[in-house]
Amino acid sequence: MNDVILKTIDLTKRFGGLAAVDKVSIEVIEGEILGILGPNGAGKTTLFNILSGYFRPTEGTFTYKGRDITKLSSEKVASLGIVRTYQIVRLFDKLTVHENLLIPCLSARMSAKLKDKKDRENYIENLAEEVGISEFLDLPTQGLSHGVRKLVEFGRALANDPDVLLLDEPFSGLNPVEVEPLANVIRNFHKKGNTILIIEHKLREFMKLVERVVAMDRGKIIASGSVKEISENPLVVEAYLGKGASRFVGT
Amino acid sequence: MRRKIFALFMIGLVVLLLLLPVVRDDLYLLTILSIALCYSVLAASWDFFSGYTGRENFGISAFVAVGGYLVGLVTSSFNAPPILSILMGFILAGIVGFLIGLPTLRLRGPYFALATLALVTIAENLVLAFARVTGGEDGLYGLPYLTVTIEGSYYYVLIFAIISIAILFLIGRSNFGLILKAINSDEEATRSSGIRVTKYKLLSLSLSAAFAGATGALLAHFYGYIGRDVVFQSNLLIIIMATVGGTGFVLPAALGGITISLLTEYIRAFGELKNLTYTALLMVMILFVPGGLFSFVFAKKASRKRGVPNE
Amino acid sequence: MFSSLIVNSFLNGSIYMLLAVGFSLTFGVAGVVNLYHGAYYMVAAYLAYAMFYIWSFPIWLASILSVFIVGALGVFMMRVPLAYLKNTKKESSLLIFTLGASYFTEYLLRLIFGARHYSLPSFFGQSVSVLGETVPGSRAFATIVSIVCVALLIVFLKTSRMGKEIVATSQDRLGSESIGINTTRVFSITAFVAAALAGIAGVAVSPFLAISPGMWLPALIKPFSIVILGGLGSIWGTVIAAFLMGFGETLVATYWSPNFSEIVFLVAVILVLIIKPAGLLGVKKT
Repeated sequence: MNDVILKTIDLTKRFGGLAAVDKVSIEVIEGEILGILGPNGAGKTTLFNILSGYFRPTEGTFTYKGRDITKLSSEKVASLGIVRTYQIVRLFDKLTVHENLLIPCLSARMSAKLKDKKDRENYIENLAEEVGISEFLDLPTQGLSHGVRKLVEFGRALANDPDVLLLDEPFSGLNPVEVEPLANVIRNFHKKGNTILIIEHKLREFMKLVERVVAMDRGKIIASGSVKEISENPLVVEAYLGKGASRFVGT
Repeated sequence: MRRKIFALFMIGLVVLLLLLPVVRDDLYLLTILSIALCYSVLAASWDFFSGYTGRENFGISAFVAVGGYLVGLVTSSFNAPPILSILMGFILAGIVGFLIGLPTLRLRGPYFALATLALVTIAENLVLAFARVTGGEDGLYGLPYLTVTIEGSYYYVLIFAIISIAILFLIGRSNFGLILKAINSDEEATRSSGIRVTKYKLLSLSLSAAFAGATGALLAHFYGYIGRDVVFQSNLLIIIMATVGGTGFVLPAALGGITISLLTEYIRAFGELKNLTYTALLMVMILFVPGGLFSFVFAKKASRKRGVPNE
Repeated sequence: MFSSLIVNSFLNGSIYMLLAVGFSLTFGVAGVVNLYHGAYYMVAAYLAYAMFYIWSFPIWLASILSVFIVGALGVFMMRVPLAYLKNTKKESSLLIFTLGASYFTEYLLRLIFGARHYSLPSFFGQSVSVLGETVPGSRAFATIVSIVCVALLIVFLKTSRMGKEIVATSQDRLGSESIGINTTRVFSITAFVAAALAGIAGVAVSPFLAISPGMWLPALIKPFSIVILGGLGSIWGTVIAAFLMGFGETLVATYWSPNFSEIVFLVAVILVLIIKPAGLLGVKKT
């Protein structure tokens, strides 16, 4: 049985009077794909923002491999191996695909592993091939199709050589043809023994990828369990469809 | 292909500038070219920080002042060769840039710009307040010249400009410059890629300030005089030069510096209208030709391939 | 001595408040840091001067007309160049443009009026006695006008329909659009109000402060410092910070030297940035 790699304890984030994340305590097992489900405004992205170091939580702490990283900045969190992608793709649009992949290679962590230009070039080439964006390497990211941009962002995340990936709606805006390549790349990453947390609304892909699910509503965790358990959980259904909808849940 | 032509053009320009005193015996031309070269370095320095990171520095003259007035201070105490005060100006202005950057770089773009504007206003006030040291309204005269002859000074300035602009250009082209542009595109995403953003912002501001300070010292030695007209009145003009030339690649901004500076000479006769013309030019360029005149050379080709076949 | 400090701080603070509130409003509502803001202050003063001295308008008419014209100028700036630049996503272009426009206006006015300093006649000849200090009528008038304007603004924002739309837009622009608020109109009204407030400040101080082509610069830098100190997004923070700055400036001018009074603003900004970047009552916009 694998260890807990990421653990949050009563994580809370308040904006004014509103608790966007409300006493969230979860344990993520190393090597698992954990899905995070919930209607809009449930606090999923806020949770990611806290875990990635963008927000400081109002209360609560979280640890990574046993070490308390609650107060670390985004740069430090990334350098520890926790990397995220964004709901709305955030690429370096003034740069080419190749350059987007290069930036993480210039961080302190990756510079130690990739000693010179040749190492970096090989690394990027292999990465681009793995993700399926080799043909776009010299093109500016601005102007590429949405599907390719999502792949590039994923590739850039991978360039950090992360142990944990936080994927925020990776399939949003993708048409069915574009979903498949990305899902494969995510699966490949997982097969190497890495951990993934994934927020997603496209339920079909979500259900195929994740092993365990945590459901959130209004900042709180309302249920957790396997995919099947969650889809039958009345609380979850009501969170999405409104009160009374659980009456209509069949299997 | 574009770049090769541009490289040839730049080499040609440098050769032309090097050979000019041999071919033409025109001291007036050499003088205005020297000044134009100084401003090309200033425009390049401005671009190195503001053009790459996208954070407008509206107070570059404060750094020029550090270098320029330092010359006044130093040479009044002891007679040192100009190279020394230029070097000192470089270092001191760099330190000032670093110290200013520490608190102000936290500000978001527009507020950083305003802070630098406030800073240069304060710097000007300080110069006027400490008139005994700085010469106040009148400035400081009798500063040592670069060399005995105008030709000599011209070459001094030309070599300084070539070296400075080359350094800035090469750093800009390196991974350092790439990181600055990533910060420009999306600062937070850059952070999330493990880059220590603050370090890079501080370094580039310090370097930009350092070159501006060195040029300030150079100008003081070239004119044999330093005053608020040399230092502060060109604050906006430097921004205009870089903007009109084109931001983000050092060389277009430097070319903008030379171009606008030479233009200054020709419309000097217009008097007050001159300023109106520049600012009008700036506004027109911003609205209609935001890339500037020369940056098309470095612009990346738009992608013809867009992605997955189904598009 | 102390009462003179208090009185002067209050007088200065009220003018700064007028300028800063408009500046803060433009950013809070339209998301634009308008470096042309100081120019409204300046243009209104010059217009009032021209109307009064050159075309012999009565002073009250000149003042009111100037403010309206400047307000219209504010709307023009917002609807034409600023809207265009905002949409092309180059924020840096907008900053350079508005800065350039400010300098352009300075040079234009210098060309027309020369570099001489001008002033308007006093609005009220009589002096008033406050806390044992003799305050010239114009200064007292300027202060009263400032306070009244800001009070009216606060009432307007809280009670009128447009005021509430403005507040809603400042909190969430997309959300406001989705519930049917015409944000373009909101921006225009905000631009008018901000410019007009700056214009009122410009006209009100002209009897006792010099009208000069460079007067836009401090009228930009001081509000900016105040907004940083008071916190972005908080009108009350701006008001309090304005008076604090007025106090600080008067303190430095009295006990040290008037030359350094502007430094107070910058030092305050730097201190705020180091200690509490969100400002005194700041609300961090996520």
